[in-house]
Amino acid sequence: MNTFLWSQGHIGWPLLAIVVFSVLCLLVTDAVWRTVKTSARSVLLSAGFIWAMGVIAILTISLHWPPT
Amino acid sequence: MVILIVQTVILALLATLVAIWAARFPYPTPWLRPFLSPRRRWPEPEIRGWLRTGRFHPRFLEFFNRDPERTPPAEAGLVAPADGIVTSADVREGIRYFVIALSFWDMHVQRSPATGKVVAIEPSGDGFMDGEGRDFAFLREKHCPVQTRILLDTGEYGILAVRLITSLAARRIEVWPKVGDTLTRGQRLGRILLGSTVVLEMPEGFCLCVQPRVRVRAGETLIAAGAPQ
Repeated sequence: MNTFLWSQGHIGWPLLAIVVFSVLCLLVTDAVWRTVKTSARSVLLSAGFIWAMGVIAILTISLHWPPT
Repeated sequence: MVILIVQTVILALLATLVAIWAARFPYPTPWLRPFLSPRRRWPEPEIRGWLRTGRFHPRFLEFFNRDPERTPPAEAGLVAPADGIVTSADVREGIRYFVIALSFWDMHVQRSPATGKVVAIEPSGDGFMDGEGRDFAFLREKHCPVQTRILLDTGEYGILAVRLITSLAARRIEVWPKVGDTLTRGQRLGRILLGSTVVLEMPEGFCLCVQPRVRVRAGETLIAAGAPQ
């Protein structure tokens, strides 16, 4: 995790991946909320769950990278 | 160093997207609008905000001012004079008032319900509807909504009248034919600019083809068949 924030002269890839994923989640959630006829609560809950799963996946991959 | 520059560009791009999204919220972002239905693309609170400031989204104005061609049905009878939802078709003193409510997203060009000669164009009203509802608001003995009543002598169907009524939103009506002009069924009559209601007055005896809460299309939906009984 030492390389999470900064690694070899650039931003850590896990951090960048989490930022990109979070922004995409936000924008996709907004698009789904506007196009699908469902409650905002259910959209938020689903988006929150997907975001949490994505962040956990990114962290897990970064902890075990490179694969041995 | 190259990687850092690429990462910085990516982050700047994302920050811009989030900033635009936050600035537009709760309204849709520009890149999402083309994929939304008109009602969601331009939500009503946003349109009402534009009405207050007088500055409209150009795409909305383009959409609002659309004037598509319409083909009247082959069956004889009256066609709807406007796009919108039928809110009532009640009879008062021998006249059936067929009320069509238009929303901001409906096409706002009105059409003649039948072939006939324009015998009168009567503008009236110096106020506006006050949100008490659309049905028969035009008949109340109080502030009269701005309206123009176009009388058509159709011969076969008798005298018909089409009322173009504006709302609180804006008080502008355009009527294109002049007194003495002969209109064909489905021909363009005029336009209500951001208006709300069109009422067709017809003899009581017509057999209606549509009921309240049904959506009709100007010049295409048959609303009454045959001649009045």
